[in-house]
Order: sequence, then C-alpha cells, then structure tokens
Amino acid sequence: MNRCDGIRMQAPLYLSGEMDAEARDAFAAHLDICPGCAAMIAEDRKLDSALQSALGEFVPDTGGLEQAVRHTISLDRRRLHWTWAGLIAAAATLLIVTAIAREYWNRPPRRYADAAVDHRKEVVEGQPRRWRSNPPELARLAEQNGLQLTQATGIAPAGYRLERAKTCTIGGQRMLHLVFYNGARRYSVFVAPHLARREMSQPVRQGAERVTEFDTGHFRGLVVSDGSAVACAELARAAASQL
Amino acid sequence: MKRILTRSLLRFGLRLAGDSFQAEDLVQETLLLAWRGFARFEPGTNVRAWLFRILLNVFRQQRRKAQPALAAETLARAHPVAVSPSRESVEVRQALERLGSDQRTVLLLAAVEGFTCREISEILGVPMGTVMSRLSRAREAMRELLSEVML
Repeated sequence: MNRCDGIRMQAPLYLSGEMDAEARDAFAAHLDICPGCAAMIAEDRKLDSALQSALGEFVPDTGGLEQAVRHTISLDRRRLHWTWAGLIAAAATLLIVTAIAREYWNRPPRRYADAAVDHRKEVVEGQPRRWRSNPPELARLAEQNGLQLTQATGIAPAGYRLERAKTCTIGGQRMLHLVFYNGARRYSVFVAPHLARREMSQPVRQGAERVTEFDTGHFRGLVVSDGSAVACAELARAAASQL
Repeated sequence: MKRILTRSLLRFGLRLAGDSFQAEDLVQETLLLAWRGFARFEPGTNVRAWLFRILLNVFRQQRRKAQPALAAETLARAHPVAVSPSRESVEVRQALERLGSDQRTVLLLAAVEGFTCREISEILGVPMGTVMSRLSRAREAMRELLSEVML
C-alpha cells in the first residue's frame, strides 16, 4: 500500500476531526505535497457541504410528534401507577386473607366452647339437668362410656370427689360429663373413649372458664375449671394419668 | 436541546423510511423505547448516538417485518423543503439514493448529522474500520455520480 492509499483510508478520520495532533499534522503534510490527495479531500469537503445544504437544512415540525410521545409517556406512567396500585391492593388483600386464615386456624375447637358453656350453665348456674349421683347409676353411666367407676372417681386430685355425672354432646361427640367437688369448688371433666396419640393441649380461656384437653390414647377428655391455667392443666394431667 | 434532537432524529428517520408518517412512527417508537429503557443508558456516553442507534434498530425491525423497497423517488418526496430545491440539491439527493443502503447511512450520519467515525461505529454496531471503508467508498461513489454537477 502506497502513502496515497493510506491517506484515502484515513480520510474519514481527518474529515471528522478524530485524528490526534501528530496524525493530523502528518496527514496535512502529505496533502501539501500531493495534489491528488489534496483534491480528493477538497472534493469530500465540498460533497459534505452539498449534502448538508441539500438535506440538512430541512427542519421538520416536531410539535405533534413530541406531543404524541409525551401523551404516550403519561399513559405509560399512569399504567405503571395503576400496576403499583394493583400490586399494593393485592398485597393488602393477601395480608387480610392471611390474618383471617390465621385467626380461623388458631381458633380453639368448637368442643372447647361447648364444654365451657355446658360447665357454666349446668354447674355454675345450676340449670336443671338429669344428673346421676348415686354410685350404682354412676357406675352404669361410666361403663356405658367405656370407663370403670374407679377410673372416673380416681381422675380427681386429692380432696375432690365425684359429685355427679351425665352424658352430653360436646363438639358433636357424645361425652361423659363428670363434676368433681371439694366442698368449695367444682370443676368438670368431659371424657369419651378415643383412640389417638397421647397429648394434652394448653389451657384455653373460654369466657370465664379455662378448658384443657387431654388425650390418653384410650380416652379424650376436656377439663373445664374456673381456676387458673396452671390449675386447669394440673386437673387435666391428673385425669389423664388415671385413664 | 430536546427539540433539536427530535428534529435531527426525524430528519434522519425521513431519509431512512422515505415517508413522513412512517418516519414519525419511527421516531415516536425510538423516543418511547429510550424512555422505557433509559436505565440501560450508560451515563457519560453519547445520548445522541444512543438515540440514533435505537432508531436504526427500530427501522431495521420494521423493515424486516414490512420489507418495503425504498424507491429512489421517496427521498425527494420525503423532503418537503419550503423553497424550490436547486438543481444541485436535487442531483445530490438522487445520487445519494443510488448508493447502497449501508453507504448511504454512514454518509448521512457523518456528513449531515455530524457524527464521528467512532460514534457511527457505536450507532451501527460495526467496527470502526468498516465505517471508514464504507464512508470512503460512499464519498468516492458520490464524487463520481456528481462529477459533472458540482465538482
């Protein structure tokens, strides 16, 4: 490649002013001594100028276009705003649904409320019911519910005696309602035969009463007492240990 | 500044699309894409070159979809210059139309829009050597086509 070929290749950089000072000086020095290359550069400058005159002077009206773009951008922004609003609303709904679901799942079972109501109406308020209180009737009733009388009487801690009993329906299940009395205070035990794993719930407040559920593997029971949570749990533990 | 940039884009769009309605759609699409993708713009780089690159990409996508053949007369039609064009202007535009698309594009970007070879390389996504050779051949072809008219 001779020097003129190199100059022709580099011409775009020279015309656009992208050459560094040293390269530009060398390029210009060649133009000074080479009429052919100098003419080519002059023609290119003239050509660029002609192109600018022919095409560059046209100034299109961009008012409508810019307005259309601004309008679309504002719609975009609004859409984005509503997208965010939608996401926030969905998140809020999810939170509310989660809170409701949590409340529902954490709610004590219905049998707890049933047991507490039965205890309050039938024991605390003394509403009339058909109770069994003499030993033979108590023994028969216990047997009908899969219990020995000794088991039924033994589930109470020292100082308490089995005062009376009846069958009732708690949470849709037939259960034996036993009332224990120590001369000053009464509490109820609801018990039914049940085959499940051994467990005992934490005492749950139901109105003025506390309810603790226990499951011995043979019996499921509910203890209802107006005492403290610890006392209620202790009564349930005592009952469970005997069944 | 924004308006000057929009005018520059529209002028270039007119030369690419050959139709003022298509050119406006082209520029509108370009500006919206730029607005939506502004996070991808690297601060400190040339925003004008970035916009022209988007415009060219949009044009190529649209052309691939529509495959319109750019008629030689569309360029003249696309330039409703207020004053009567001189014979030289008409000849220049006609000569420009006879160039291949690649050569015409680099020549428009360099001579009319004033981009440097490096900027054109960024706009077109081709090496700088390619830009320089296309530009040299475009100018050489134009010199030959216009030898009797203006040079």
